Amino acid sequence: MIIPILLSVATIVFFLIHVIPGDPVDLIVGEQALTTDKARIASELNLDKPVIVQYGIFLKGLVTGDWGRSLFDRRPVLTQLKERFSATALLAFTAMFIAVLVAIPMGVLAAVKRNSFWDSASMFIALVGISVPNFWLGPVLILLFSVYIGILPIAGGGSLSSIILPSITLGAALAAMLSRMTRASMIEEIKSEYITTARAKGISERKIIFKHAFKNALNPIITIVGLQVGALLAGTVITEKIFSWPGIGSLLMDSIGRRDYPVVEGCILLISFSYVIINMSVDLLYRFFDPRVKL
Amino acid sequence: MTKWTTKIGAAIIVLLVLVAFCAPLIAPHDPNTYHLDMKFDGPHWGYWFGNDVDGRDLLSRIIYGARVSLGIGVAVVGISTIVGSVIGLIAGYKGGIIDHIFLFITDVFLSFPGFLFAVAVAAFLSPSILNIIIILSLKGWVGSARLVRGQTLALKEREFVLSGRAIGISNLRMYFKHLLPNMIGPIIVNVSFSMAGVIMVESSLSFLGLGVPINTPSWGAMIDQGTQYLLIAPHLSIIPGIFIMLVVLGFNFLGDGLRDRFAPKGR
Repeated sequence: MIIPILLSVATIVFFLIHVIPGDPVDLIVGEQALTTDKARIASELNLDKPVIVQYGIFLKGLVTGDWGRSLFDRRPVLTQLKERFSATALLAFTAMFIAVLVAIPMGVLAAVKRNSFWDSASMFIALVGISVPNFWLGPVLILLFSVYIGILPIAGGGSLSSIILPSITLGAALAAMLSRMTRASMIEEIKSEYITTARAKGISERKIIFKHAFKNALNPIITIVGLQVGALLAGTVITEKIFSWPGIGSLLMDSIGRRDYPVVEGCILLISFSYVIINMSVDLLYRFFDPRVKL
Repeated sequence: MTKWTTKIGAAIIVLLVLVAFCAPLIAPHDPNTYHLDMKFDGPHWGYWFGNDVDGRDLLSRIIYGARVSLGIGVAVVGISTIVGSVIGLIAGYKGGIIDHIFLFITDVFLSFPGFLFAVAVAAFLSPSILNIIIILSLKGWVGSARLVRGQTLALKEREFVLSGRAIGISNLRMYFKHLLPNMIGPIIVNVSFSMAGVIMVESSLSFLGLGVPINTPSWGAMIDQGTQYLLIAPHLSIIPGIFIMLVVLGFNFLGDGLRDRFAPKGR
């Protein structure tokens, strides 16, 4: 199942890039460039061949690991992607970790103390969190913690402290969404009959919540977390731009700025592939955790 | 009883619409006039939100920016909802091979991170408002089509649809006279959340420099410009962001309230 989906995604990426109106060669070298230069670029990118032949070359390269060369510094696209991927993965996973750490206690608290002040307060914060643009949150965090308080570095990737602000920026929306999911899922469980039974048997409330309800509520939560890792990868484009984080996202934006199409194509393919693979693995995990699920 | 958040959401949206429509009447200055003597000035008398890199009045640019956000939002959500509803109705009602093809195509679309899709297309097009609308609608229809298909499948087995079929009414009449009116609630809820989503994605694209043309007063583009001068003029990035947040929050609040009303079984 994973192969046809990956193939379709690659096909969409290819046709998105190659069927869009406008001549890419003009965009790369400018309309006034010499015809010979235009022809050279066109033949390097195989743009002088029919689209279907280009598609064949593209697919062959995809499988054999030849993703083309950068127009900017002539290095293989795949090498550049390899250099950048770990930084993006690190950022995405830290963001996810922080989001889980904040959201799950918040959601459980809101569900247990349903309709209380804590419930309304945390759900209000969550709705606000979903609505905060991360390209606004990032600069505000920089102003607050790097400029006014001055305890965290603004940019760069290396030290441990430099990852804190980017991962909060990236993870805030996920945390907000996750806490709402956790609350809904916990409320669902608390309402079920086995909880009533457990209460009737006189089991302590603490045990009921954590040992019984939470354990069962965890399944949908794991799914959402997994599905969102893919979305986080896509969200790094903005976060990496704000914090000059040396990952795939900033490579993508730099390459768009330089009209370096082979690299742009590579970045988009890599992020989409990771997204698909993560989503499918989550599906498998879900079935593993909950044998009732059959799809 | 209507929750207070729903009322606030509705109030924000009414205000947004008013501001967008009356922009020339309420903007204190021309949004594109340079006041080079006031470059980077913070909020002061007559220029309540301060001035940007060219000394343009930030308040007036924000007021005109409401038109950009709302206009793109309405266009994209309108196109997506209409196209998505028609496709979803057909796929759900006809079923069979049409439905299978529909499911495969939408699955492929959904297996793509939506924002990246927009970045990928925008990277190869010149920035223009029309292009933004096309890009966002290209993927936007999928969500409402899946929603309408699901609703159609549920309604299909109901007696009124069966009896309609029995007396031989046309498909068109079935779609628009019988099926669609019965799912208008979930569609409206979806419209509200989609507006929030589209406004967020549009400003994100504009922040990346892939959205509206340069000098168009878009809130996202204003933040992009503002972050380049974050240390000298923080108001340039902070103030437009508050407006994006308020508008997105407004649509989310409203959607939440509408969902409670139309689909009480939901969260």
